[in-house]
Amino acid sequence: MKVVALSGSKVGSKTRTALNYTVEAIKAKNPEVEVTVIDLAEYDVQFGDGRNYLEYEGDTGYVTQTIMEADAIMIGTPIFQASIPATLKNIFDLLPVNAFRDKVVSMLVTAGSAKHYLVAEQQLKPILAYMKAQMVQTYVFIEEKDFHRKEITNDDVVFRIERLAEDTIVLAETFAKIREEKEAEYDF
Amino acid sequence: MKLVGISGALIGSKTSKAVHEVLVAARALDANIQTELVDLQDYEVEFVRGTPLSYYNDDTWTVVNKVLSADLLVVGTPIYQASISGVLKNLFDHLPIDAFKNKVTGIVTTGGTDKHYLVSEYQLKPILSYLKGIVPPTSVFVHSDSFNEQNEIEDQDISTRIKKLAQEMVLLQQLMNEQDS
Repeated sequence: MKVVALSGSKVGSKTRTALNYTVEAIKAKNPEVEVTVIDLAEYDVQFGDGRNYLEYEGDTGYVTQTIMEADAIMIGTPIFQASIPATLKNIFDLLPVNAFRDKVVSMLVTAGSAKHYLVAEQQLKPILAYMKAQMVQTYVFIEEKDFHRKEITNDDVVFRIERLAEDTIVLAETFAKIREEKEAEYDF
Repeated sequence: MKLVGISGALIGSKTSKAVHEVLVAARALDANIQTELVDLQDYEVEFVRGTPLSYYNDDTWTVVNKVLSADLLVVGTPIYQASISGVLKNLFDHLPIDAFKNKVTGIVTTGGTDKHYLVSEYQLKPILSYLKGIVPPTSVFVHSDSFNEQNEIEDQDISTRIKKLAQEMVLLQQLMNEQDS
């Protein structure tokens, strides 16, 4: 199974830090899973111009194709202006409409204020649903105060992250199994 | 009064045309209104990296300042993946959080299916409200079929709605300016 951990902004370190915890949690329990981290701060992705994703070259092509080849995607995002950052929205714009069909997508959100808790529910989930994702419904929301020197200092948050990692893998495995059984029903 | 129109599409010309029509309608209402269309196709605005504005290229600086210098704005976006375009969100990410305080911010969206009609209400309006913009009751959704081959808006209902949006925007902004003075 291929999992992509996508860190959605070019600003700050909290989202990447939190995403690293989820990656470690997956690796610890599922050594057979192939995890790729894509931190958008490390790539020079261009704005989408309506092309098919396979026609982009360089960093843009690498990022879109790696996401499309994944079985599960863990999205880490900060909140900018009560919504997702443009860098993340641009990734969605680069991908086809049904990009997340037969893929499991889970979410991890970092924010400076608890008041932004519902942004993932109202701004991010509708986009993922439109792109046909099977979502892990419960997302992990982490506040600024839970971090100290690029580490998470709140044990409850770490526990929730481990649960998110587990749910992502279990859901991806379950859907893969259901699809296999369904395909076995056909006689060719 | 300065009305700035933003067109948030990097491809196609329908969104900028629809925004342009709002600017024309506003000028027809009040000859003292200056208008400017900021078409994001004409600028290379960089992705937000978290640094102060002076660290970005000239286009980024220019566009952000044009937006901040407006008295009122009309924001146009195509619908991509059931939300606003990435390039428009990037412009919002560059702005201070009360960028639209005391400013009327109208909405025009373009899309290929009527099923995207509510995207402006659920995806764009909350962001404008967060930035303290005053969003008028009328917003305009223009279906691709409403444009003819010359990229003109043929649908009379749409033209009426565009005029109504312009009226509401100008009236709300005038009321607010009177309140301030």
